[in-house]
Amino acid sequence: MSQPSQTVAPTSPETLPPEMWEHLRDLNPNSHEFAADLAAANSLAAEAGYAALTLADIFPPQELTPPSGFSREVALTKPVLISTEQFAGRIHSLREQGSAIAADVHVYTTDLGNSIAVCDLRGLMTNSVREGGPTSERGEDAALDRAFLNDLKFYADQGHARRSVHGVRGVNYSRVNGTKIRGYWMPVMPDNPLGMPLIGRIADCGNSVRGEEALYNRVFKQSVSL
Amino acid sequence: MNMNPYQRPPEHDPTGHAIVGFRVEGQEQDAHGNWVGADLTLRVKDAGNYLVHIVTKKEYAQQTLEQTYGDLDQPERLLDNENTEFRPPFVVNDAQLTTDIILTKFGHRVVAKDLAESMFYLPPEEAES
Repeated sequence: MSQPSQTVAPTSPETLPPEMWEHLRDLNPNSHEFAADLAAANSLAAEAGYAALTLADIFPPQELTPPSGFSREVALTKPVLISTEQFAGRIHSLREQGSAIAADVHVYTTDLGNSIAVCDLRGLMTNSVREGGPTSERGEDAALDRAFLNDLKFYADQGHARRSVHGVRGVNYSRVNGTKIRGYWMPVMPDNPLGMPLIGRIADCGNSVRGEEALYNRVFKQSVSL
Repeated sequence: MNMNPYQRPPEHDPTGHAIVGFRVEGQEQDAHGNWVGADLTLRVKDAGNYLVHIVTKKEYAQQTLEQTYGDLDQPERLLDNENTEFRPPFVVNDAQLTTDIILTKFGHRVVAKDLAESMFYLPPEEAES
């Protein structure tokens, strides 16, 4: 697993001159071509006494104001390619039917120093799933975001999820206390190139338009009776 | 915790009706991996289907602290819209949940007022499986 690369400043004087590796920015960081070219550049760097290039050098992340409970948040400039094979048998609401989907990633560092990445897959779900989500007018989406970030911090610091969906392996959820507002999420790509847990947000349901169970059935199409 | 009057048409009140089936939708763990909460779908005879969140007393206290002093939104802030429904969790005295505890508490139980207040009614189109 590659090392996380969110703390190195771009194009430091100790790295190869940019003209020797700038073409990497046009490549898919998940591709074999990228890996081969990066290896070649770092081999040259090692021979010439330069520091090795990292993903942060090539794709400088954008610093954001971190939410409460976190010391850092960065938005990566290159999307991560996620294999759809891992959703088979669990998530039935992906709009795209290809072998992989691209998702933008935010990397969070908790106050305890644990890093975790999040990609938002909600826009890649079918319309029927995306309708009926928490609304902004009522503040439901903001409340759910705060609940999700709280659970994200829990996951990063404790190593397991606070709330898991019964009967659907690996899928977790956040909720706004006292309401039916739910947000489903799951770890994706254990071997992702970021070198840290990567969480995918899957789908949300609001409080008054549709119930949690309707979304549950649309996304998972599965139920287990106790 | 302050809460608004429970919004429910009389025909959706499960009080006095028997629970004839239930399903565990989600499980909640504390930092030590103890099972401390769950989301259940209850099927109530002659009343319909309902969603209820159950939680241990200790976990409920912890969640209340988080809402009071932390960054989680207190549900009352979401009550600007008359369609927003808020219900407290159903708190159990057990230290942690088990399958047997849930079976004992919800298997063929008649819904009392305290449980009813925690139950969200699920319209038929929302309860399809």
